[in-house]
Amino acid sequence: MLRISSAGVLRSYRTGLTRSYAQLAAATQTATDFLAFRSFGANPAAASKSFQLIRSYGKTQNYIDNSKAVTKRLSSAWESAMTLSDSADKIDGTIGEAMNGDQDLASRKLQVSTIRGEMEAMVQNLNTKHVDTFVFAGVNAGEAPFTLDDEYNLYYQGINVDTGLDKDKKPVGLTDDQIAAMTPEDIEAYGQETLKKLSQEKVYVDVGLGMKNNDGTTGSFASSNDINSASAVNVSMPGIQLIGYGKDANDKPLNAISQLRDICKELLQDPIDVDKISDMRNQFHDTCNVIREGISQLDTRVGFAKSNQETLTKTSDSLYEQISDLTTVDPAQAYMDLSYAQYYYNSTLKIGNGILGQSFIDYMN
Amino acid sequence: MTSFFSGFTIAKLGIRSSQQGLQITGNNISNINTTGYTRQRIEQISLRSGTTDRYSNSTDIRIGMGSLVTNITQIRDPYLDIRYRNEAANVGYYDEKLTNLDDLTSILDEVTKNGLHTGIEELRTQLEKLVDGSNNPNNQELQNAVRGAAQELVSLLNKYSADLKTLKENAVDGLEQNKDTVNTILTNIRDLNVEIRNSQIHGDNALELVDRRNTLIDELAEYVKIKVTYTDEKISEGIIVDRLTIELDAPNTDPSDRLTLIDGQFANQFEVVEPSLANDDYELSLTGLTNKDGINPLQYELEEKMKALNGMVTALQTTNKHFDALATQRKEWLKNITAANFTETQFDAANIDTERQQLQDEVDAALEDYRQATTDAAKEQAKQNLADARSKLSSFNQFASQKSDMDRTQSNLESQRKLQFDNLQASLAEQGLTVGPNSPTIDTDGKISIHITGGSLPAGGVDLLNTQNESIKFAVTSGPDGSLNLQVGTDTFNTVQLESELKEKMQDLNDLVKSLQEVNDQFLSLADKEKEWTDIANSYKPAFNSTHFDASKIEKKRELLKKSIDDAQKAYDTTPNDANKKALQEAKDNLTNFNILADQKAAIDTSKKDLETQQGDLESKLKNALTAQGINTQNFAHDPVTGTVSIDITTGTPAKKVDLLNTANESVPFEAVKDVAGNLSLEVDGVSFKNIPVANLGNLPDTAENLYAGNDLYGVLQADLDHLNGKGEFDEPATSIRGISYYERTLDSFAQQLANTFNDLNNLNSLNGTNNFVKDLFASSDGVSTITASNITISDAWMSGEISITTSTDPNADDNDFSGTNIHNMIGALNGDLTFYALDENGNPIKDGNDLRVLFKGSFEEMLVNSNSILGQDVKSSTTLLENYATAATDRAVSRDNVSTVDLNEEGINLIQYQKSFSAACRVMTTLDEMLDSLLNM
Repeated sequence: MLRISSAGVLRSYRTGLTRSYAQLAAATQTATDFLAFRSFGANPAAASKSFQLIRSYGKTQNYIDNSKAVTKRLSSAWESAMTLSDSADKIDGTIGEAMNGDQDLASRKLQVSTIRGEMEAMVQNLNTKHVDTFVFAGVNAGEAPFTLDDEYNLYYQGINVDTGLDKDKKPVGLTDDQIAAMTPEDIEAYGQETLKKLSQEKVYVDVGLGMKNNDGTTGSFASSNDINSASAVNVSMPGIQLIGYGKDANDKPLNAISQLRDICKELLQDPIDVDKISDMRNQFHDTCNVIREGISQLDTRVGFAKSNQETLTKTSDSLYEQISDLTTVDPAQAYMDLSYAQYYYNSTLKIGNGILGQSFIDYMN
Repeated sequence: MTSFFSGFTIAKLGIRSSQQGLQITGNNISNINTTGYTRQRIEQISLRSGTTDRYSNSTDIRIGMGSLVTNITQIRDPYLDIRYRNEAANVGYYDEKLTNLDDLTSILDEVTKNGLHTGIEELRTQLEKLVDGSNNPNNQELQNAVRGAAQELVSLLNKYSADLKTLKENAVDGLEQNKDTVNTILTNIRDLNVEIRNSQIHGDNALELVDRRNTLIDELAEYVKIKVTYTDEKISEGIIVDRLTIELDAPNTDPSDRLTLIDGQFANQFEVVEPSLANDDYELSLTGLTNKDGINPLQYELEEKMKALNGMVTALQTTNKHFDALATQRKEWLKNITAANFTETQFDAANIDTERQQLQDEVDAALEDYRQATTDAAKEQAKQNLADARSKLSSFNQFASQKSDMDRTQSNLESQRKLQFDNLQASLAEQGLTVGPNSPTIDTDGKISIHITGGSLPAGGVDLLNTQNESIKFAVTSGPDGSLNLQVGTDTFNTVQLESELKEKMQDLNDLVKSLQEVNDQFLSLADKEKEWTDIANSYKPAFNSTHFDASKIEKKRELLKKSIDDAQKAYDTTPNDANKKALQEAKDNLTNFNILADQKAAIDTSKKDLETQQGDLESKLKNALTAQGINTQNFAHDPVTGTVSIDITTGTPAKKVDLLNTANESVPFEAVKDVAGNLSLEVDGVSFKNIPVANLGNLPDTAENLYAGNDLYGVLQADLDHLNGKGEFDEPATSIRGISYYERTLDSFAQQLANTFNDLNNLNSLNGTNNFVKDLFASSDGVSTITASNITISDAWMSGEISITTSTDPNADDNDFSGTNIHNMIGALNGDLTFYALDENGNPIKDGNDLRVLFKGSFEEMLVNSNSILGQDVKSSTTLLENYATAATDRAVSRDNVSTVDLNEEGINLIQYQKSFSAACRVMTTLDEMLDSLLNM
């Protein structure tokens, strides 16, 4: 026959009461902080997933910040480029007036002076700074990229924008022995090549496009030129790319400032060669178109940066929602669970009164 | 026919039985809340009178003689005890494991707090700011922010490591406490065993003590997995007591190999074995069974035997004293019979009857004379003669009776002496001792004296019991090497050496040699480090070289380097061209590198000194240990360059040189080798230096080292050891048990990877063109050791601003280079997949064959999540298992309670039952009383 003793019943009851109280405590905690779990031990899979989402969220926030900075920098460059274009148009008008046969030398001198003033303003514009960065400087963006000497020769990072040589008319980055071994044609070609490289300098910012190398590898970048241009935003706009550089086949300068320099020289002749100036002015018009193309490019890049920022913001919101869904409980559910746990605990307490009730001894005479 | 008054006995027995029943019921009710109390019941039988008597016949009716309580028993199911205790070990293990895992979770789990994840995120955020397109990556303020984030990260690593170290210290304390608790339980059970045994010898079942003992056994079962057995121990004829034995029931252990924790009055004790150079695990060992006087079973058994021998000798001494007393009594009797004009011969067996008859005849004659006497005077005379004759006869009879008593006593004493001597002789023979020569001798009074020889006693033997009735005692004494000497008086007749002690001594020697080998390895490693340092220092020629770091030259050189900076600065101030700028930077770098190297040299020298101290200490211990084994020819030679030691000894017969530790750092072992006959030979490299015959070998059972070998114990103690030692993938071979050590090394792996990755990236295109320490961002706090989570720090050079983050991969980049390609690399390293390797205790990757053992592949953050996830999975599975086992244990406990504990309903009914029977027995008494009154008044 099965024997049930009071001690056995009490032990079972005690265990059940402890369990129900533990459940009540857990439900109370959840109803207080609405956390679905408080440690990895409570739900390892959900906790791992939540950290993954939090990590993505953190990166997205960084990309958003980067996108904002990129947008601001490119916008700054765009505004400066617009000012540059306006100056160019203004100068073109002045040239037109100066070319008029009615103008005497003294008037033309005044106009040349105006033009040269605008040229200096353009150079200052090209040295626009955004926060710590000279926006038209390329990679070496810590120093003002453009300088103008007394003869209105334009230098970009210490290199003549026409020849690609330094102030001493020597190629940059070569030893004296190497230079001595070069012919003048070699030097000229080297200079042009130098200018070309400077015009193609890139500075990439990671805005969440999966920054990678051209060969598809990630995580290690030997140089900016190895970075896949579709996987990051290039914020660099070397000024010589905007205003032109080097010389054409007829040895004529291709950058706007040098062209204006040469036009001014011609306007100070007496009498002026209108045809020559006209040709030079046409070339200047071509360069102004290049500036406008640059502006258009900048415009596109700004638009892309803004659009990317919006996408990232939506992604961030979505991630936040996912994190919230994973790590928090519905308040209604939490309160319902608490009520149930409370009910269960109260029921268990009520039973206890009956268990500790009377026995045979209480009825004995 | 049954006697009338036997009815009173029947009633009396009935009253007594009912009274005892009531007392037992009262005891049960009183103890209803006593933990571990088992309900008791009386065993009652019906008393039966004798089977036959002289006057019985077949028509007589046999009536019982009432009831008798013969015993009080407990109602308990041993099988339920076994089942409960099996579950208790599992509950104990997982409960303790969960508590330990909760401690780890409080440190490492980052679900509800900011920790390493936040640190990594902050570092990444600050790095991103350097390359967001608008900032100068070389901007000092921004770089300082990165350094701040890195500082926070390493501080967190240091903190976690320090917290784990504290946790480990607390865990060791916890293990010690639990070990002490177990030891206390074991000693308490042992003491209870002694009390119960003594009670049972005196006829008391000591049920309350048995209950207390069962409660302690239940408690013990939570700490270690045990097997409990009860056997009968025969004390003497008719006295049998229970003997409790508790063994460790380790899984996969042969029953014959089980280690004993309790055996009757002997208990084992656990000891914590701290990690050593040879073994980096905490372990538990058993010290061996001892009783409350600290005596092991072997010694106890020998002492009991010696006590028995002493007892036998004392018995013979007592018999001798009785002989002495008898001799005195005889002398007194002789004196008395002489005074009464008797002679001894008259009382001889051949003469005594004749003499008595003669005296009787004299009495008869005197009586006849009295009858015949006619006159008063004649009658008076005859009367006197008669009285004299009767007196003489009476005296004769008295003396004869006395002689008869003395002779009987003599005979008994002689029988007793023979029996005692035979027992003593047999017991002496068991010890290899013999009585003789010309012994025993018995003097005229019957006193015995005994001379013994044999064993390793002096050639002439010794007097065990001399003619003055003085004896020497048998005793057991301990020798200096743990051996047991059996002595009689001051002479040793046998020595028992403990095989386990001898094996332990050999192991101690091996451990010391191995420790010296480990120290040699460290010396060699340090020598390699020193060579590497020398090569690096010499690579800075002509600025400086390794010789400039000697104590006599170092400060002077430092001053010279400072002066060269000043000179370079002046030159640059005068002519600020690239060449002078480069020269100035070079001079600054030279001083920086010099200081770094100087710190490293100091750390190497300190390490060397510490090793020398360690080596000296170990050598001293080894020398003493070798001398204790009689190996006195020892040669310790030190290599002047590396500092390593090589040892050779000369021992054996004939003497042979043995390279104990050679110059290639290889050692040979000490061994205790047993031959077929069971004799033990202590050997080193096959050369025997001590032989112990089998007769002199004793075994201390149940002494064990290295109990922890992956689940020998189970229960709370096992959980504590797993917590301290579990290294998971860092163990050799890898296991699935992960404790504090696993998480410590995981953090070390993380810290090392972090430091190596960023240092390598930052040292890209360093000034001297080599990837070395010049532009390390992270370093160990002492500059020399392998980087771990506890010692990782921001390098001094980075902290002081001497170096900065290398922002570009272009070797010609200056501070105006905003490409930030190297920053992108650093961010890529934080986000990208890396390989984390499992490390050994020195921070070096563990090898599986030729391959390094991979711990994890993924990013830094994924590695942290993985580690947390492993901990979380462990917690979850342990929680589930604990719930299962706890439920099962509760079920067993409830089943046990239902069998063993007191039920008020039952006891209430028993109260009524015994109370009624008591009343009825009293009624029988009163009825008989009335019947007797009626009979008497007839």
